[in-house]
Amino acid sequence: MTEEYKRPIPIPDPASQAYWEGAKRHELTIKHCNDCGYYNHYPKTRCPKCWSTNVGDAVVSGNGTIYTLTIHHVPSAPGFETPYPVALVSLEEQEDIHIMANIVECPIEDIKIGMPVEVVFHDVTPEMTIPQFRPKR
Amino acid sequence: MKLDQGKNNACIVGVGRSTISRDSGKTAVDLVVDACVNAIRHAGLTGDNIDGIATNQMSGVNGYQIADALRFPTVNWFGQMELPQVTAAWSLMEAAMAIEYGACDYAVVVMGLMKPKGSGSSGSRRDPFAGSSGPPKVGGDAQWMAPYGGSGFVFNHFMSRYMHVYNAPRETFGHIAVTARKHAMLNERAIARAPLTMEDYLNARWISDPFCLYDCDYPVDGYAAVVVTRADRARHLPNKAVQLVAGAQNTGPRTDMLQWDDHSNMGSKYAAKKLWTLIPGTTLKDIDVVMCYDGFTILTVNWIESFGFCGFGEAKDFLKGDMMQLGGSGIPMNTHGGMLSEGRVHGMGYIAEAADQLMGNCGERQVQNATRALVGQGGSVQNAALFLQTLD
Repeated sequence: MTEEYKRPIPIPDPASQAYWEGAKRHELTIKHCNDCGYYNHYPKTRCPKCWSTNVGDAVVSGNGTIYTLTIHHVPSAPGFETPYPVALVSLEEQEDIHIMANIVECPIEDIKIGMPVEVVFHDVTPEMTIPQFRPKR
Repeated sequence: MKLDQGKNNACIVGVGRSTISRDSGKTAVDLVVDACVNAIRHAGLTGDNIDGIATNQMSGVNGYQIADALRFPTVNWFGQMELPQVTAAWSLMEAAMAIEYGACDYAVVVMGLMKPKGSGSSGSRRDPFAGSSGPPKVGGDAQWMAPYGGSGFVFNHFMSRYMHVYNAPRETFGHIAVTARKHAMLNERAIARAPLTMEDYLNARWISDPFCLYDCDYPVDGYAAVVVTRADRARHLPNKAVQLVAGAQNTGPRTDMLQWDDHSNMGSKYAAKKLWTLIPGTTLKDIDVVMCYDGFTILTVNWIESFGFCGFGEAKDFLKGDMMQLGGSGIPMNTHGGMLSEGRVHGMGYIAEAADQLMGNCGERQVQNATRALVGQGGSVQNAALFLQTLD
């Protein structure tokens, strides 16, 4: 990580707290319905599918596939040097979960939609860890 | 929504616009009322007639401000959509329903954009992080995007997925940009009127790959307005009235742009499908002119396919040569130059142009004997499709 981290830092809320706390432990944690088995994201404490409130926090594999890919040539936030990739990663456990990521440890020209990826965790400040994805090893 | 083609059917009876410019030097309220006054006068009415106002949160002005600025004696109905990113067609449909219900007699519907001063290339918002020291903190939905520098654009994810799934070349989208510019050259209001070739498109700088400069609409200061009333009243007014025969709003199974279920298309497919069910017997053969939202070129391609001009993924073959151009093959589309070249009047430009075409106001870009128009508006999760027809 850079000496001084300038990129936006998430503010956890009651529903997303488990996600960001999980990230700090280097675990990708997704809300999961204990009744119907549906994962939901952005996190809701009531299952959007069956409306159960019996929703817990499940640690997922961190494996996924690049679903969409864009290369930003105009920065949308501080701390980014252009060009930089912004992808949506579709999770292995449930493909309708889309996690944004910059796809790291890979030259931009080699990043492709459909590429298998895995989560890596960047400890950007003492309090915050940001999940990213890199090509699956 | 479907209205009988009887006396209660809502009609557009007047069209007006403010100036459209890169920097008007005016306030949003002053520009909005310019558009309203022009539309009301065009309809042959005065402020004393207007008792309904519809706009939405993207216009940057609310109905109270408009009512006070124009001192309408009594406003019986306000429509003020608060959903994010909704476009003008939703407000027009609201107004039509209010007219039919009898909540008001004459409504002015106005939308547009005040390009924020000092805004970045997107033009739609101020830099939310300007002036902050140290890492900015982001909550709400932004916590999932801003840490990745992805807060500004989302439609590019739709385009990248579409190109991947259908193996679509950039020329598909270039055709949209080139067509818009060709039409804008016939529209003296348009902000961008210099010739644009496919080569220019392919060599343009990247904004956010797959978006180049010409895939993105043109942020402006500009508003457009229409006046809506019941058909029986419309018959006594000077312009040829344009009926809103049917309108459909639809989203789809998800209403979040990034968690949307299938980024190779958007909610337009639901709205268009719904619209066709409301006008049985009507097909594309009956349509004289079409407006397809072009906030980004991918959205136009989605609308073309959603209306059924070609199958999903087939635009790369369909959009060749002079297809959908004035004087060319197919049905002329976005004859004013769209938001890509006339300027981002947030959807109202399409309604104003469709009404102008059906009234016969379009001068050298007039589609001869145009009586029926389709309007497809919106992108990703917010979509509305309209069928407009001249009143018999």
